[in-house]
Amino acid sequence: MKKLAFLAFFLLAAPVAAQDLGEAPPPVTEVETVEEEGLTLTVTDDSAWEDLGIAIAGFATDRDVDTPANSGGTASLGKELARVVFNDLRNNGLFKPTGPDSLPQPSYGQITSPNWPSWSNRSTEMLVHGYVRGRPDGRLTVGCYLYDVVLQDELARAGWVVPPRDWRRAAHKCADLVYSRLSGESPFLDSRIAYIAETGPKDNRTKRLAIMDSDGANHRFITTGRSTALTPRYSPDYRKLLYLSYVDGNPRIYIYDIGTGRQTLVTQSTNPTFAPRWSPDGKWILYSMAVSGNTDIYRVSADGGPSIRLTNTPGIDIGGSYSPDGSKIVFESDRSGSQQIYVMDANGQSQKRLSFFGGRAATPEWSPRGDQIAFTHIAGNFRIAVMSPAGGKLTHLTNSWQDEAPTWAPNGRIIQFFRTARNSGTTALWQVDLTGRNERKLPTPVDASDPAWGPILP
Amino acid sequence: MATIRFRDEEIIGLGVAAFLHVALLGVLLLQPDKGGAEFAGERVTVSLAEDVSLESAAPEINEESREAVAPELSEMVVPPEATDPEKSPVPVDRPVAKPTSKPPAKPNSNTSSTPKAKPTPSQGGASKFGKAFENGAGSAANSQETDATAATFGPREQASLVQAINRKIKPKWNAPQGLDAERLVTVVSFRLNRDGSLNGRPRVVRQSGETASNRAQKSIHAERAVRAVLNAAPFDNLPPEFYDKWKYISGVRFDRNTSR
Repeated sequence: MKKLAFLAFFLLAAPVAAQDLGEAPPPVTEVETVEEEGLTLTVTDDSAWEDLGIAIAGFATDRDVDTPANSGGTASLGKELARVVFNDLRNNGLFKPTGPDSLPQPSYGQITSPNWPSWSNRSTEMLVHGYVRGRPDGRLTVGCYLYDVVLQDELARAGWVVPPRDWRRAAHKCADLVYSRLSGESPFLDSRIAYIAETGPKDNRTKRLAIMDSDGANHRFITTGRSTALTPRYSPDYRKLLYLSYVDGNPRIYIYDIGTGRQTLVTQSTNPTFAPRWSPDGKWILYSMAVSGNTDIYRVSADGGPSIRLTNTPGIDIGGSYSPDGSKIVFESDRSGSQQIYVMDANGQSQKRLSFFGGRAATPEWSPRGDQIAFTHIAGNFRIAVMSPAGGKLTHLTNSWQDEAPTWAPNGRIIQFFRTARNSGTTALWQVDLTGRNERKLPTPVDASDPAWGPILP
Repeated sequence: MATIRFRDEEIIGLGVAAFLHVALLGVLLLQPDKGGAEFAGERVTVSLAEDVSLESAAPEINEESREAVAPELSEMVVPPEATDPEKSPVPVDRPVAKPTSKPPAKPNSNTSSTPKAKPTPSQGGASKFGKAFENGAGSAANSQETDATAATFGPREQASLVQAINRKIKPKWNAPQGLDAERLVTVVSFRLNRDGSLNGRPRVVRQSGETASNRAQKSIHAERAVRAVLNAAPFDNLPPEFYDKWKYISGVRFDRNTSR
């Protein structure tokens, strides 16, 4: 009886089950790429930004020969090279370098095969080795190696041949190699800066044009200071400087040839001209000229010739800055009633306002990378800020009393500006990176303003 | 005007009560401050395990296993030779079965019920001593199961495994800095050997969060992520019984920005 019941149950149940299967096909899921099943997890880094430890040992030399670069010969020049690299990297805020003075000096043979055990014991992650060799023709060969101490791996190497007087440039090149390899950014240290050196009492400042390397070395005054100089700009090839001078009492733009020391007027006009800028290819010069109270932006060929007027609205249009591809110009105008930032095509067409941030916005500078525009945001205090070329994403990089006149490092990742102290009125050059976290003062022999960063040297 | 009159007992009672109140107040006031609101500022890592992994696939899963029990010793220990010398050759194998086959005597009943357990001490060679213990692999007192409990890999184990790997990698990772660099995310996979060492090189599975500004850091981000894993190896802090679970780490997400 029980068996029968069972049988009946199965006979009855089977078709039902079959029907069920027929009615409910397995849910169709997306075809996934076959990834082996494994553990997944997220690693965060919620510590403060940590600086990468870099040990920079003194550069070694195969044999100590005399060189005009250093009275102590190539052996002591090697140590000096490492010190320059150390100082370059120390001031970036990204690294925690250790200089050659507190490290063992590697031998020439160890440059290409570091003595790993002795470096692993130090709390350093990266290691910079280098060598300097005197060549028979008097020039120097400088090599630079970057190693990962933890993985005992070579990350980068490069070598340069430099005349003895340019030995610092070899060190800057080495620092650039380390910087760009470890940060992913383009190099910027082997470059120069022009600025206005200020001396004298507050109401009667002497303002002179001066140039120096990006680390403050090789400092040189260009003008005597008899007439006030302002707003210098390096030409892309470093041969010339544009600047504003009051030579005959009127503000006018001059081109100063660094090689010959000759200077020429940009345009033969009795009207005041200011705010000069080079185009990225160095062929054009933008400037502003005030004609009977109305200031507009003009363009002129760097070789001279007629000027072309780009703006023609009433009010002040000033301070044009080219985009890196030369197709657009960002400038400052008070046509809306207060200083704001506008953009137009290189021929002056389709002008439109970019800044709607409240307060005023002045001195725009297009990043050499093209992805940002730096400017001075004036809302209470003067702050350095950046925005996207479309006018969005306002980011303040500094918050002090008076920071103004931003200029970009050649890699478009560091901005230089000048800061005026609140009470003393002293001015100094400062740098800040685009994260706003790393701010530092650039040493200058006297007070400094109106910085202009030139491009990276070849 | 009715004057309130207390009886002596009431006065005494009120006096005592008043005194005790004042005493209590004094005690409370004079009590040294223990700093009850002290906050241990220790950071707690909370990990939200979303994946529930499979249970053990053993045919029968023991939820718990009893603890090992030592045999009850009889009250009076009789020297083996003295009782019966002729029995001695045989019992070598017999008593071995006894303690296991017989359900272990409940501790409470045993003392009174069976004095018959006499032969057990008689066979007592030192080699057999271990066998006299009831085996068991757990700590439950009310279970009869003697097999080891199944090693389950549940959310808890998964979370602690993730934590263990994280503990290794995190100190070695150093996110690159730069504009928008914190938006970058790199996912790395790698295989592990049984001893925790890396099997092959870590592989970048994918990257995300790239913008025009952080493009330069993309490769550095990936390189540092791989470097962190290389640097963190060997992962010798992982439980060997779960090797199956950590032999392949399919995605370690290196993400500086924790708020997303």
